[in-house]
Amino acid sequence: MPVATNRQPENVSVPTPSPSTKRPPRPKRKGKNFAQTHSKPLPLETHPLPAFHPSNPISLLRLAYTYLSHLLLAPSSHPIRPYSGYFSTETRSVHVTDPEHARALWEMGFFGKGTLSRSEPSWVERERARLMKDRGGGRKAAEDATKVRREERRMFKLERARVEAERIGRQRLVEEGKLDANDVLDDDEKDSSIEAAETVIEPTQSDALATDHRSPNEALNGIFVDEKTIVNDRTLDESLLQNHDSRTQLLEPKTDATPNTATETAPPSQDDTDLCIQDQEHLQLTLEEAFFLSYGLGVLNIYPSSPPETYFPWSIPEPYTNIELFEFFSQYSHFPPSPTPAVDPDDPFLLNYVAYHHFRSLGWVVRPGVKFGIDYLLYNRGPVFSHAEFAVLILPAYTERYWNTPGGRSRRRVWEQKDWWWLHCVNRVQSQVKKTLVVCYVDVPSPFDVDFDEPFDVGSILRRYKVREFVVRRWLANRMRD
Amino acid sequence: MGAPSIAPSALQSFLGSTGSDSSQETQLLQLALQIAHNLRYQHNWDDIRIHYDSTTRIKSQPPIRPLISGFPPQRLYVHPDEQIEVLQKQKDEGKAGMPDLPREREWVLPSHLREKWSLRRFGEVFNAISTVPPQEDGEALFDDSKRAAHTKEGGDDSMEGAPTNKWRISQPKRLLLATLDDDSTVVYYIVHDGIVKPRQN
Repeated sequence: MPVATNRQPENVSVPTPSPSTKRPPRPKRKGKNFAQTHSKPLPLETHPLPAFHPSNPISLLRLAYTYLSHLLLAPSSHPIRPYSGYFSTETRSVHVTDPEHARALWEMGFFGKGTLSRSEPSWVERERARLMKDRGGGRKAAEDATKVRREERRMFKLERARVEAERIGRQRLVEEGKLDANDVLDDDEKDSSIEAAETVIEPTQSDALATDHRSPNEALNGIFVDEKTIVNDRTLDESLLQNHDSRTQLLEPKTDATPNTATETAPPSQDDTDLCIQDQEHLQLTLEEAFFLSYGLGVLNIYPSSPPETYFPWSIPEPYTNIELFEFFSQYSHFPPSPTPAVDPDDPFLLNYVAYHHFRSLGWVVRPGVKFGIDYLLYNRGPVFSHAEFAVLILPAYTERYWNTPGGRSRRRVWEQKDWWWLHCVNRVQSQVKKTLVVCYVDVPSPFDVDFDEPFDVGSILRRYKVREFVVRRWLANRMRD
Repeated sequence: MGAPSIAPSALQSFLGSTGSDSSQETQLLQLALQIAHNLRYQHNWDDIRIHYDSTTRIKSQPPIRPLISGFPPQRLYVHPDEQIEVLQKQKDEGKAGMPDLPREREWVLPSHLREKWSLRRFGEVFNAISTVPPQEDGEALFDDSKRAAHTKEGGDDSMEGAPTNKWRISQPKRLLLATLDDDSTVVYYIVHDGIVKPRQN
């Protein structure tokens, strides 16, 4: 049997690694392992059958055993105790205050948003970091890295403002005839080289994490620094580079919300024990997310925020049924909330929920997109892994015949036509942040003739909706020739 | 199976003190309180006060929309000419960069994403407010006695010095439009009553 060997030619000497030339072992990454924390895409447990290898007969036995045990005693895909939250009418959303439930809902599917944070609930960590900093020393929270980067950008902009103001002043003096034009040219060259150095240094400080929207190419291009400029303005370059080094150290121990993992990354100081911070934050689920978890997946129980009148101290409160949630959420999706719980087919909640359910069932992670001026953002795996690829805009489409009748026309909630300038603005914003705009038309059915006092099937109502998506990209004739 | 853990959150208890009728006035009040809570805890504003009397002058908007005023931790808006003046002064003294400017009290207009604003409505709000929010007017929302002592330790005596800033008085009125979405995102925009010179940086 031929054995492949790596035969070295005799006239080439292979350098043997001596202890002095050996590379030092790469330091272990102390950052969080997102693939491990967010290994489950939804808060459900899957029990796949083991693989079957034809060459291995034991795998067949294993497969048969697992299949039969699933038939006889099927393992549950749902958590033993469903997660719980309450419906807050004051904020028109569902609050989850139990820290374990909040963490589980965030980790398995990126549901909800911390009320006082940008996305992941991290207020207690930041508050502790702030109080420790006031006392002197302490751990840095992840948001401090953002703050440092913004501060650097602000200093750079101020320096640029000062340089430009000086140049304008010099130009004015030249025009008044007080300065020699040649001196001005030299000064201008010096300024432009300083600006070039600053603009070149600046992109290297781009944050690799999901808090910034710069492409990786810029970071690579920005590494080159003009040597001439270092001589001119050494202090400014050095200070920027020093900040860069200190900032990379800040990025390494990226802390997250729970205090447990935070204490692992940094040694706990003695002040920790007497810092008792009452958590002012909770996880807030939008109405669509909460309905998806409750109706679509069945892992969330939503209770009323204030217990009903007949509540005895020892009785367990009852969660809302899906029908009640359907009515309440449609009612509270307006601002101010509509007075009666009548459900119109083009309520904002219904349109948003149909689109949310559609994209979630296709496997996308759907997050609210008010920060970019659109309805939803679609992530491939989650916000911690990559930036959102698509930005979804939801528009109702009144295609059924009922909506064109005079009665139907007056009942339409959205009656104004969107114009070209609006679409152009939205598209411009999305292309600026490197996302593709998806216009999602939801075909609205005619009003329901369902009696809401009797139980009805929510699915039969949702089935009447249809979703059509269109990707909108700007096409420029002179640039997109190929 | 124990009792489900549905303890109300801090925000819910804060809002629950306003009563539970769903009239439009209560909704606007709860909106203002939610934005005040966000300002205090997420952005560390000081001395947040809620004002009712300035809004009674807005006659065409019958439900009274309370306004908030407070102290941001840093200065929010620097006029470009003021920026140039400060930078020039720094250069004359031989220092680099920008000093920390004294912070100024700001108006905050609470709003919801689903509301529609028009120029007329904005105009009415601007007519009803003064250029600088009054120091002692309105009702204080949070008990900030510990925080106030702490900031005074840092040598921050800007609370008395702010109204004498000539840039604040000569420029058009400004307020911070705080727009709330139901997923608890609050988006802040600075709105001026008129055209202002744009900033280059």
